[in-house]
Amino acid sequence: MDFRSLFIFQQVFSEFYWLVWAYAIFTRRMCKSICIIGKSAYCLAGGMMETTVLLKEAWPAVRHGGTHEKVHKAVPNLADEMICNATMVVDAASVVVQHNAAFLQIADSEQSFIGRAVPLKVGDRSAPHEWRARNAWLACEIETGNGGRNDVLVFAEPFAILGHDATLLRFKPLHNKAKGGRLPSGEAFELARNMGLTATSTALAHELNQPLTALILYLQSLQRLMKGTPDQSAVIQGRELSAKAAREAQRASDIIKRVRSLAQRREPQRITVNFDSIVDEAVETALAGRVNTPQLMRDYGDVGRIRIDAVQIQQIVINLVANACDALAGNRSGAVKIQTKRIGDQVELAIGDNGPGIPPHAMAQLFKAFSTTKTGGIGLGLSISQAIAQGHGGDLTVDPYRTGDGACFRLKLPIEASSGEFTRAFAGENPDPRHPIGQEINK
Amino acid sequence: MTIQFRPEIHVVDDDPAIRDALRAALGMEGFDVRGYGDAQSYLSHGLHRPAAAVLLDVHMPGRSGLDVLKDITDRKPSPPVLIISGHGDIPMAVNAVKQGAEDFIEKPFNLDDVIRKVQRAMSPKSSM
Repeated sequence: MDFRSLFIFQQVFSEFYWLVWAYAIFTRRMCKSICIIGKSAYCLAGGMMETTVLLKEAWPAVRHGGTHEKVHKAVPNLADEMICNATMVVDAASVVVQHNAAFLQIADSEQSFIGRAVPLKVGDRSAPHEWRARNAWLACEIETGNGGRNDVLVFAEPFAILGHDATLLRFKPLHNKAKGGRLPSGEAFELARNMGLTATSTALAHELNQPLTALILYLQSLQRLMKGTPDQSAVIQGRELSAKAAREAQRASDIIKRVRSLAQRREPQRITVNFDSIVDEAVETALAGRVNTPQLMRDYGDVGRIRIDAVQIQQIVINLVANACDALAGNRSGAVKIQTKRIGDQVELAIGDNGPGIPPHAMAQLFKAFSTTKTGGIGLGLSISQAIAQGHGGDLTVDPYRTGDGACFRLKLPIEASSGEFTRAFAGENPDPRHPIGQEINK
Repeated sequence: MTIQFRPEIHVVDDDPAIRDALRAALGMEGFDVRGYGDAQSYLSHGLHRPAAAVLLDVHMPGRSGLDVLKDITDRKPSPPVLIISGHGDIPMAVNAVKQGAEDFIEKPFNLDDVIRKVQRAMSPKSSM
């Protein structure tokens, strides 16, 4: 699960829930006095409007990203834009019904797999219908035609054929043959595996939908009940309804609290790494599987070792490189420049392209959650990236346009915590997640 | 609209709060709402009862709503079924409509939508 995205959802939702919760409590008190019931109904109407506005506008992932296809499209926009063109359909007995030619390529096979048992495993599980509930890209092994094994990512989803339950599998290669076939290291691999925004948003949407639906129905019932001149029994019923509405709002609030506790656990888990190496590795991951990649210029300033959460920082790099490639789509002379350097007590990573830059009107919304200019995007990549950078005591900024160049994103991270005896002493698990290790060392 | 009798609506949803909220909301509109927490209890106790409409959640533990849909539509005459879709799974809901469901409602829904769709589902087919 991507806890950072959970954290951002939580921030968006928590303010809203307090509002509805307050309305519900307020209304319950109001019910005690019949003469001000009119006012409470008015407040409820306000609450309902908030609900509707939030659901219609603030969370596109829920409103129209809920379909597998759209959410699936949203994931690559978050961070990794690896092309997914190999697909396979498997029936309920795990027998291959169909696959395309691209699958033969990633399986290094010339022979069809149709009618054979599915040549894949996720961990020790080989039944694709079991993978569907995970609702995320999973690391998977393909038994290749020549007896070897290839690592790929697989996404499984329900796919009915003539009323029969089947599973559609989509694949993303994990290694880039054009770049020498190097597999990403363990952490980059884990990163790709954990790109679970789909799972996160879908699960969270489902969880919150339950109390929200009940809450809306209770409040609307109450609203109807209080129309005209309610009699004594209506007031009693209204009191019950408002208590139930408050309970549902509380339930939603509890979900948010659980999410928050998850997010807090995901403070940066710092390890000492060579900054240039992890950047380079993430660049490779971002480009893996892409076709028509732009020209890459790497200018690493040998910034040395730094104490960071490598997985989180790589998530930023993947996202920025993917964005740069998107900006250059269709541009034959497209180039991306990746530069690292040391500036005082900070390291800076600059990822720039020679695309069209960022238009002034998009600047104000650029780092805000749920703002996007991409079709199929949900607008979380940059806001999550910035949150990660700030969680490290650094920042992510952008030069929107320089003459002759496109946009250039700059990630700055402090390096104070990157050396010294204490660094190694703290290399284990952080005993207190509220105080990132790197900050403690500075005291 | 004056309702002379209270038509029965069956709600099959694993969330007790949703069942209760629908009972309160639709009860106020003159419907008699019966809730069932899972597919099995509906098949055992609800399927044989005449219903004006069935509100059926697709995401339930055990047998899914789509399975139950088949059992309902196999009966003749069968009540109109409104699929409650949990996370905006439109293709699945469309699939359900193809398999005989009357319509689908996406959570979180509001009362007006439900009432409108229930009334439309209950109205004679010739008027649609």
